[in-house]
Amino acid sequence: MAAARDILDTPRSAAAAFFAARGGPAEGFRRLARHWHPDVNRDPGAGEVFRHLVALRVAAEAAAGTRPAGTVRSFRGTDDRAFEMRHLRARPFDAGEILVGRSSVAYVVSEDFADLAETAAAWRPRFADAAMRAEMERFLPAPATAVATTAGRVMGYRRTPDQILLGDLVGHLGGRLDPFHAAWLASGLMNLCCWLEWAGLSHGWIGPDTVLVSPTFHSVALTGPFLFAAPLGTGLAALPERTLSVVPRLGLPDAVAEGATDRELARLTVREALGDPGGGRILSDGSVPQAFALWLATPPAGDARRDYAGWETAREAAFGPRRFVELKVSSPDVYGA
Amino acid sequence: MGNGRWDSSSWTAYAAGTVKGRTRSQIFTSTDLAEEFDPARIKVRESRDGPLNPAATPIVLASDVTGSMGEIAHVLMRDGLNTLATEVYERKLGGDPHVMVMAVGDARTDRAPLQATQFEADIGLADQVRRLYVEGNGGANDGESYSGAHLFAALKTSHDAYEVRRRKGYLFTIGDEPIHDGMTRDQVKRVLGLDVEADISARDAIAMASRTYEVFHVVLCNEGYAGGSRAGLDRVMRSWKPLLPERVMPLERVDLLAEAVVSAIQVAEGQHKDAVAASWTGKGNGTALVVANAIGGLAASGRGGGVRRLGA
Repeated sequence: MAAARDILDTPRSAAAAFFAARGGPAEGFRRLARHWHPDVNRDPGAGEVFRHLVALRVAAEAAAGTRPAGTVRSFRGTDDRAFEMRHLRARPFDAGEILVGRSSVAYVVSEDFADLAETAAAWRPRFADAAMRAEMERFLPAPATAVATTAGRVMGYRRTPDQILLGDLVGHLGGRLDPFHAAWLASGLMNLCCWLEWAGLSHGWIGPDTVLVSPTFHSVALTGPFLFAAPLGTGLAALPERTLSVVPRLGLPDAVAEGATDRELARLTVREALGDPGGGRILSDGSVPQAFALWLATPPAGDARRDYAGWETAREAAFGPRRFVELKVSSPDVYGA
Repeated sequence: MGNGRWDSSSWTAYAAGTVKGRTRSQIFTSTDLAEEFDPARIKVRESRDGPLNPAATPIVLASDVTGSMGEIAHVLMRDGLNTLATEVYERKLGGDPHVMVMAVGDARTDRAPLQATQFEADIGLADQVRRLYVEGNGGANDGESYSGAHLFAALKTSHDAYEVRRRKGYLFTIGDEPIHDGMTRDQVKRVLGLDVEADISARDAIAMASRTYEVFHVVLCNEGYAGGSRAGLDRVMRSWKPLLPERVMPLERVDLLAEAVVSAIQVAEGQHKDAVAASWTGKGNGTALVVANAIGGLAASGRGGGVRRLGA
């Protein structure tokens, strides 16, 4: 078995040679990890040796061209069990970090917001009947995993291969979605808002961190923990500053959850995707059809269904009858795998 | 617009030649709405960052110019705009002021219920303000169309402060009357030239402006409608407070408008109200006390990102 000093003294540039003498990166790493993993090795330096071994394996696989895409993040559960998540993209959010994996999106919620995560972990969408479930469930993934770790609560959600986190998609497109594609985004968000209002909930966090879009199917799903959700008409525990900035009245002492908040956030999300969060520029520069820009600028009207009807009118005026136009971006384009 | 930078000496020279010793009617000589200030003809007003103003901060002063309220425009011209810009720089309020002045009237009765200058960072603003039409009419109908200013800010302005840096601008409506409850579709069409689906309430107009501006209202509590009787002032406050809780500023002296506005910006940016009021001590004639009363009911904006814990 290689000594600690032998491992630590091996530079990454020599990783391929190091593992070549030990049966290759996968086999060599497996054998050494069995000995040096800090879960089994009580040597106080074992953790450092293990971390360097991981780095050497990554370097060796990269050199051999066999490295699976993504970066590995290690977690240690509060029950002292360790696990890893390979992710393709990491992005911070107001209460922690988002890790986008091949088939999942994980939200690592900081310990400061453990109470919000606790409530969100228990949340499950409800539906009036089988038809509504069939229609809506795919757009409202419940948490697949929720694990308390030393890094915070890790909450995992399924991601299909065609889905991309909205913030990543818009970033990939240079900060601006074409208005036609922003229109199906608006339709999908309004659909979700109708369900939220039917369910008697304010989500409070609709935006680039919580919306999964499928360019292939033009579908829009709400992912991530319902950290800031509250039943309509009840008090609010916490909200992200982005939400409070666009609806400042929610910061007042007697504020309660309102359905209109999510529809205001839906509009903001679309304006952001169009590259104009304020909405004043797209109203004047002609880059977005006037009926669309004006709908985005005006406040939510009436209840969610009436608001959706108003959106349909604006969409028709802006783009004519519904038609499918391919958005030529795929998940591998954005995430590299 | 807004490519210059404020220079107090330019203002002093301009004021000496154009404002000093002149009455309101001698300064504001326009007899009709100029096309350049007509919101229906304005496509967009922009505040952009530039070499001289790398962090442009839009500040909108939307002043009632009906009846006796033309006095506000006069005050701004005498020294108010200069004090505002100078103090924003001296107090290092985090940006380079781009100031727009709007003249607000009554969409039910006035020929020119709303006018808007460009955003300006230099003396060019003074000349535009002087060319505004101070109609001085109003409808004697218990209110003015302040919502026009909110809608203009929401629908016809665009600024780098928000679009680039996610910092809101500042919008102050100023007057002595209650606010009419929004604008009808027809009024929006006539005044702003926009086809909206439905009437827009005052609450919604403020909500729209609040997306990109910190919105305040200054009640001139010793002037005109509000100053005429205790009941009048009560009606004004009852009209505004539910719409703009923690953002209504009762101002006892119209000549201290600029000081009150600067102080409100300081509070919104997180400074303590007592310290802000005290900073005017020594500026003479009860300034600190008047400012303290004006900003006493304000709350900070709570910006800074992250998650904010609320009451429940």
